[in-house]
This record gives sequence, C-alpha cells and structure tokens, in this order.
Amino acid sequence: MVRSDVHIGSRSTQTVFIVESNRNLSWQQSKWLFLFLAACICIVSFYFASLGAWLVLPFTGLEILVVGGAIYAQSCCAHRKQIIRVDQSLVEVDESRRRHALKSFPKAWSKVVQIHDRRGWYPSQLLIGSHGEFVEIGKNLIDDERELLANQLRCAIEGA
Amino acid sequence: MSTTTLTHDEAHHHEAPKGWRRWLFSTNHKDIGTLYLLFALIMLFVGGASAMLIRMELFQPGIQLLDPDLYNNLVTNHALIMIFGAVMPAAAGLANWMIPMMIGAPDMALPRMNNLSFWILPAAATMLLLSFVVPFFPGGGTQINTGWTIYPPLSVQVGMSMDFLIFAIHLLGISSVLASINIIVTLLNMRAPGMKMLKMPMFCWTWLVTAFLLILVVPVLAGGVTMLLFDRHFGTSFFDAAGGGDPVLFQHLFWFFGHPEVYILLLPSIGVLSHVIPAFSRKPLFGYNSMVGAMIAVATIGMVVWAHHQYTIGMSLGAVTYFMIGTILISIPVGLMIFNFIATMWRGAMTFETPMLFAVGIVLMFTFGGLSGVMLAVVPADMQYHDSMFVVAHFHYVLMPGAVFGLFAGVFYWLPKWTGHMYDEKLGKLFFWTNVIGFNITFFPQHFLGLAGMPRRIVDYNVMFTEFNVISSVGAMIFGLSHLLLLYIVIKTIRGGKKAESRAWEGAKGLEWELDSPPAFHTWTVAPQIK
Repeated sequence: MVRSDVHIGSRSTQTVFIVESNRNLSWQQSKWLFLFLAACICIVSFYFASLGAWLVLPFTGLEILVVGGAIYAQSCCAHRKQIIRVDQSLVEVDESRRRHALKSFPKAWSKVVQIHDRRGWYPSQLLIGSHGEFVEIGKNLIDDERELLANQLRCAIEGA
Repeated sequence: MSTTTLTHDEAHHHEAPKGWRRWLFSTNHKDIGTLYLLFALIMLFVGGASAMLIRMELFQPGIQLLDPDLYNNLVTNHALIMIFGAVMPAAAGLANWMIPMMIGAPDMALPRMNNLSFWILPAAATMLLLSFVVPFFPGGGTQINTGWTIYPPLSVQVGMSMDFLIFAIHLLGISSVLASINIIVTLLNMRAPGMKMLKMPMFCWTWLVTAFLLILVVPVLAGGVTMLLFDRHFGTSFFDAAGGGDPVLFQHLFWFFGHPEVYILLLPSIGVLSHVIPAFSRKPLFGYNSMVGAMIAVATIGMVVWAHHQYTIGMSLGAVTYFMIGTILISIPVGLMIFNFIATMWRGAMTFETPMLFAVGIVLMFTFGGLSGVMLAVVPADMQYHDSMFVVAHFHYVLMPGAVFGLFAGVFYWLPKWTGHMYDEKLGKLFFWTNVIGFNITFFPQHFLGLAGMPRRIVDYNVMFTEFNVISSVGAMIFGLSHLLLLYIVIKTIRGGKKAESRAWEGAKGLEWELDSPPAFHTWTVAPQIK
C-alpha cells in the first residue's frame, strides 16, 4: 500500500510517500500466535510421544520451525514502513521496521532506478539514491505498484 | 496537506503473464486456485473410475473383474485419491481463489509458499498412482490391500507399493501444512482495515479452523507412517507385538489424524453454505456468532474423540464410554449449524438456482448421514455395524453431501465470478438431480446391506445381498456418469455464455462481489475500508 502526502508549507513544498503494508497483527500478537500454535502442537505431540510414538517429535519440531518462519517472514514484511520525503533540496528515505534508518541524498543528484529481472523470475527492484549509494524502496509492493511509485517519485524529484 | 492514495492505471499492468511459465511459476492466488481446482477435477475422475470398477465388480456375487487384492487396492486408492487428491485440493482451490478477494487482500501472505504447496501435489499424486501400478511389474510385490487406514501388521507385510504410499502421504502432508500456515497468516494479518475477526466472512472462518486442525493433526500422521516405514525396513518393532510393540498404537495415531480429517473435509463446505443459503434466501446468515462458536466446538471436540473408530479393539469400559459420550456431544454444535441454516431460509425470499439446490440437498442428506453417525457412536450398536456396508453408507452420506456437494455448490456459486460468464442453469439443475438421485440410489441400499450383515472390503458376497447390490451399482453408474455433465458445464462456462455482472447473484453479499467478473489479475492492491 502506498500513500503520498503533499505538504504545502509557507516557504516550501514537501512531498511525502509512505510505503507500508496493510496488517492486522502487532509484533506482540504475532509472537502470541506463534506461541499458541507451538503450544497446541507440542501438547498433541508429547501426548503421543508418551505413548511410545516418539517419531512424531521430529515432525513436530519441523512444523514449529516452518510455522515460526512463516509468521516471522510475513510479520517482517508487514511491518516494513518506508517514508520518502522529497523537499526542495533533499530526498530522505526513512525506513522504520524495528529501528529507524535515515538516508538522505541531494535532490539535484538523486536518481530513481528500476531494475527488472532479465528472465522475469523475480520481482523488480526500485532503488533511489545518488553518488553510487542507493537504497531499495517498495520491496513489499507488487510490480505494478512499484512502477507507479517510481513514476511518482521521478515526477517529485525532477519537478515534472 | 492533501493526501492521495496511489491507485492503478486501469488501462495497463493487469495482463496476466503468458505461456506455461504463468502456471509453473505462478504466485497469483487466482492462478494457483485454478490449478488446485483443475487438479481436483482430474483426480475426481481418477478416483471416480476406481469407484466404478468397485461397483462393477459388486454388481453380481462371485469374482468377475478383479481379484481380491486388486479389489482392495482399488478401495485403498479410491479413498486416498478422493480425500487427498479431490476434496482437499478442491477446498484449497476455493480458498485460494476466494479468501484474498473476501478479506480485501491483494494475494495470499506467502505467495511463493503457495506455489510450492500446489506443485508438491502432482508429485504426491504421481507417487500415489505409482503405488497402484508398481505391483503389476516384476518384483513389485503385493498390492496395498489394507484400505486407506493402512493398519499394521498387514501394511508391514505388503510390497514396495506401500513405500510409495508412505512417501505420497508425506508429500501430501507437507503440502497441506504449508497451505494451512499460509491461510492462517493471511487471515490473521491481511484483512482489510476495519474487518474485525467477527466481521470476517464465514468461509474464511471455516478455513481458519480447518487450517488449525490440519496443523495439529498432520505431524501425528507423518510420525505414524514414518514408524511404519521403520518397521518395514529398519528392524524396529513399533507396531509389532512380537518385538514389544503395539499394533493398536498405529490405529490411535491414524485416527487422531483420520477423524479430524472428516471435519477438515466438511468445514470448508459449511463455509460455502454460509454464503449460498443467505444469498438465495435474501437474508443475512442467522446466528453468525453461534456459527463461529459451533465450528470451533466441532473442531475442538472432534480432536478428542478419534477412538470411536476403534470400539472393537478392546478398550477399557471407561475409555469407550468417554469416546461414546464425546462423539454424541458433537451432534449438538452440528445441530446448531443445521438449525442456523434452516432459520436463515425461514421466511426468506428463496429461489432455487443450482447452488441453492445443492445447499438444500446438503441440509437434508448430511443430516441423514449425521443420524446414522449417532447410531454408530453408540458402542453396543457399533459392535454390530462395525466393518459392515452400513459404515460405508454412513460415511458416504456424511462426506458426499457434507463435503463434495458443498464444493459443487461453491463452484456453481462462484463460477460466474471466476469466468465472467453465467453457467447454463438448465444443465446445472439437470446435473444436480442426476447427481443426487444417482447418489441416493447408490448409497441408500447399502444401509440395508450392512444391517443384513454384508461386510465391507470383501470382493465377493452372499447371493442374498444381490438385489441391493445391483441397485447400488446401477445408481453408481448414474452417479458417476453425471459428473461428465459437470465437466461439460464447466468447459461451456469457461468458453462463453451470458456475461456475468459483478454481483452475479442478486442476494450475494461480500467484498468479492464488488470486483469485476472475472476479476482483474491483481485485485485489492489498495485495501478497501470496511465500515
């Protein structure tokens, strides 16, 4: 999901793009979901292991790993939020997931680059930066949205 | 400050990729849903063909077409193909198509895992079919004459086809678990803003509960069949009484999976009914909250009553009493669901298009199957019915209306949405009547056969059972052939027909009906707001 906000102040205009996913669970709730699932799976498996079917346990372990991995991967993706501010002199990319990471580039030298996979097997990449230093943005978007965001960013940077 | 949300340029970017890569590498939930449904349709015909062979053999007493081992191998394959190859993938197909559209999500949470969980299925189906074919080759060993329950010690003794079956079960389990995790994560994390849990469509609720059940029971089955593999090849004695093991342990492991599996097959269809009945009664679903509660109750109780399939193994009186009472208790939430469906129809402006016909058929016939289930739950009665044709009649009355007819209702209900064309209503109704009549002619007489003492899983029978078997076999031919009509209707609808509107049915409610018919390749890229 992409939102673009245009702030019009008394002296300058700042365009803000917010790239984030729609999500329903907080990190805390995701952890509780995982713990609940893992506890239920363990109760069942330890019961049968106690009857002598201990070979259920490796499958339980594998399943808990996959469940945990899936919830973690999805939560990471869902909590990735990027705020891109374009004002008169700077382009700032503020990435907040669990920590904030702020990168700024001079607007005059900033470039928006979109890289398409030659074989079409992987999603495209959208990069923004200058002087050889780039950051990836819109990783959690689909290709169409990424392309749309790229066009909007070019418009904002080049002032077209 | 002004705020805009970026939306798509409708004129471009919606084209689907072309060629075989679209299907092999697809991460699009609609394409994967289509693949699941296509796979299920193929397996329905493969499993149906084995059922036809079984009924042709039973047309007359004596051995006509199949030797006893081959007959039992067909019984085994019919069950496994229908359960794992047809019904579960069909339900997963509906889930893939509908869940993201219903909750306002652009796709499933983990699209690549979605692709993987589908593409494991053809490999598993190949293994399953190999398990049938291998005994025909020199050195292939004996056939799987155990039935789908694969009880040891017989399953330890059969040939290498059992190894193929064990690996097929593992692959099917992996596919189911991956799909379940994906569905849980999607439903819990990707609902449109404002869609609280108790605003979620019932189909999504049923799949959430189903996915939880699958995650809990599949590792137990995986462990059980792996122990079987170890007993067969690595000298262990998990299920060998002579080596200190216990063959009954396998039955517990199997039925801990096998009984919830019934609800895994049933619940998605209950979800479909919860959309079809309100749509064609033009009333909201009666008792949404109680439906959700009943479903959770069915799943929870269903997890802890598995041993009612094993009354005859010699459990303690306390154990059989517990399992009997628990099993009978399930009829309360199931009864509540049926009550809610009837109350939804009560005084509604009902019309009887094909999905609704199937829905009414389900309410009537599934209730009938439920009643024979209560008979089987009672221990002294079950001692008489056990392993008779009565059991075959019972579970077909539960699973055909409860699971398969529900899926048919779903296919006819959503086919206009998927294809953009209305199906031929006359042919749809013809399919319903031939299907339902054929089904009842096939399975109703089997109650009498069972009560008169005809055992199941035996190729020959006493001449006194001939008449009912002839009726049953004739019914099976009608029933089986009627599915060719389904195939024709589906192909005809895909190829063309009257254009379907976005809201194909007047009484249909839900986010999926806000989208075009057929929907764009990507939908809900901007999440809708639910009030």
